[in-house]
Amino acid sequence: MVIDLPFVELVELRNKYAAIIRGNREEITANWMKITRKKFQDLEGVIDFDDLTETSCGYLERLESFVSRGSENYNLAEDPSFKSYLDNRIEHYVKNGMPAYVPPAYFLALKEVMSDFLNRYFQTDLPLLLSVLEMNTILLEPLATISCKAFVEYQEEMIKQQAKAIAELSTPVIQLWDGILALPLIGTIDSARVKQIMENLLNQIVKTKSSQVVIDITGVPIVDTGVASRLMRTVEAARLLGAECILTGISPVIALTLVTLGINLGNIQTRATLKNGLESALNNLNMLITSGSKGETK
Amino acid sequence: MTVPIIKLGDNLIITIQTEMTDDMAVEAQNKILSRIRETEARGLLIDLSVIDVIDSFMGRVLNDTAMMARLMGAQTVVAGIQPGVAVTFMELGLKMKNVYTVLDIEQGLELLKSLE
Repeated sequence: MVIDLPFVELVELRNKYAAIIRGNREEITANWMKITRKKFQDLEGVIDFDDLTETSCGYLERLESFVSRGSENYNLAEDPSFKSYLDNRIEHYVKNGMPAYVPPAYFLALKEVMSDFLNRYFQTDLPLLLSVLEMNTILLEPLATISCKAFVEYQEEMIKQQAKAIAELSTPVIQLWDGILALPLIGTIDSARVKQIMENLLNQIVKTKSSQVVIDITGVPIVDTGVASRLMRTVEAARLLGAECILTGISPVIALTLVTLGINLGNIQTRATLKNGLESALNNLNMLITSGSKGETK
Repeated sequence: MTVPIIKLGDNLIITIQTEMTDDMAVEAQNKILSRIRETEARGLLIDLSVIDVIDSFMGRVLNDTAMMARLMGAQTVVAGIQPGVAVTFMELGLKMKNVYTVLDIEQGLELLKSLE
């Protein structure tokens, strides 16, 4: 998109545009905020409008300095000062729970306000008005996309971080006894998680020199063919290291699904509860827990 | 470099110390089988604890060797498979059905003793 004007006039136009912003900064901000406020009445408690007003002043300042620089570049996203300010603000608003549909509408409101002002200033010169309105569009319309993109990207980044944190929290490997590990699984087991679970478990087996692993799936809501085969792979990998796995916590519902789906868990030992699993593991190690008076047992 | 084979009682112990080429693997296999013949060994203990990477060919040779050793009357125990190697085997679909696996040589010897 290029405005069809000689370069000198173009620069002049940009200067005029910048001058309009400079001369009416407060009014523009006020109108801009008025429209935004009206659009998002229902978000009164979510958006801090005073804070947003301050932000708007910041945007206007950077827009003005960008325009008055008089280059042929209309891409605000390539202006480092504007872009870093935008990223910073977007990060701030994502953290404060602003919905993703706000930023595009917010920037389109600025376009509307600027159009009004340009109409007022250039109403005597129609061709110039057309050019300057076109410039206004080229400058401000992409901001809707850019801001939305930045917003969603930042949100996705946050979700990724949270998913990672949850995954780390949810795959603990616990040493129950010398040579016995417990792996309590909670939540859905997808392929990304199973990789982490497997890695975690295998490393712990080597580290603690354990030969018995009790895998408890009480907290796994659904076991389908996928989950079953992933579990089998984990068990096989552990077996390669020299550790035997005992599967516990299979609920009646899961047992029913497994049989209905015709899933064969192969030769994995299964026990009803974690307690029974521990008993089996101790048994496999030829160990026995006996009761005795204090100080007598060691 | 050839793979050293140590005889200990009724068992043969093989420690693989470097990553092996395909030729080396086949050569080692032949050597192991002829040693079983010679010594009439009852058990075969292969230690992989220093090996971080194993390819599908090595995996197959290992499995085949175990199968052949069993035919010749020796049980195979593989000791010290590293987590990375285990994951690779799983990804390649190598189940190593013919071998016993243990954490280290110590447990391997115990297992061989109990198998006798």
